[in-house]
Amino acid sequence: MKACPREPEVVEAVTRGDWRQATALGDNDLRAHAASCAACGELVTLMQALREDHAVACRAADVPAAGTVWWRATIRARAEAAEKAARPITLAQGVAAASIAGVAAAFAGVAWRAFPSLPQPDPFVMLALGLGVCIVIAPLVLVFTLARD
Amino acid sequence: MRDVTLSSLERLGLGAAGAPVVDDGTLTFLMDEDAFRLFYDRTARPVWAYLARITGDRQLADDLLQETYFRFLRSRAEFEDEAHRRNYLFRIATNLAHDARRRAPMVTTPVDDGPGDFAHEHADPQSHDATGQAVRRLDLSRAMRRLKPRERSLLWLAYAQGSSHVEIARTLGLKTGSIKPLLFRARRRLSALLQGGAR
Ligand SMILES: [Zn+2]
Repeated sequence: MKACPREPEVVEAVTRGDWRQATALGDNDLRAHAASCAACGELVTLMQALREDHAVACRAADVPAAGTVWWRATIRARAEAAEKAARPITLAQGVAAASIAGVAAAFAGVAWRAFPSLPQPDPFVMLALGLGVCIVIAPLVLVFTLARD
Repeated sequence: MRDVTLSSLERLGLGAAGAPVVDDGTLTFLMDEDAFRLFYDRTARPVWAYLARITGDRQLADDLLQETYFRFLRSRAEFEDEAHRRNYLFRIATNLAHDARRRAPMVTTPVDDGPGDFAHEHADPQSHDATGQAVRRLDLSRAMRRLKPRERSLLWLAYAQGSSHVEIARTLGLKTGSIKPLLFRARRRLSALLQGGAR
């Protein structure tokens, strides 16, 4: 089956309203054409089926009230905006936590050196240990922070 | 109806990110509440019907309806007229429905199950051609569910809603010139499914 050049006319007539009424109002030629043209006949049948389905679906639709949809949207928008605003704070908290861990590690190293009776490791090893703590803690804190976002 | 456009948002000193901005407790959406209520009352039922038919799932249509209007409200689009605004709304609905079907292709709450079934009583009882008999005999919703999502959208927008090819192209993000052949193919497939038995 090939498309028919009169299909746009058929679509317009069916879309205008009832096909029989439309044809009674002066589209008799079109109705006669649709009765003998396979493409237009098929088009009319499918259009009527889909338009009726659309009308019944619209009647059956149990949509929430506009006020409810608006209210839910505002609640959600506020929550998203608040979450977005809090993100830089949580990131700053993450960086601060990593810094504190680094300072604590350095302080522990200094305190250790205050007791000569304890075995004294190489200062380079101490520095490496401090950096190691930062390197381990910082990504962990960032992962937890970003996971919350 | 007042639309807050990108330029007016910028004049208000609001952020450029996608989400609406809360400023001193004031929420900025694409339109104010009164305008939204009018727009929603004109469009919600057709949008729901569209979502239900192209997803084949009432429950999903309920969820996607809320999401469609949320995304519409927080968008920064500018519209030439009411038709353009409607096309944009249906475009959001289309994208959400197609994404949802890609993620979960199985139908959970079919449209033609339970009360409020709208898959029946659609055929013209005076029609005597073969397709008409098939439409009466078979279930349109089952045939529609066997089509590709884009075919469902095309057929629904063109024949159920009476959208023009330009409007369909805008809604589906296709070229206007491609609508005619795509629609013809979709129509042939639906007709074949109905005549061959979509069950
Ligand atoms: Zn024809």
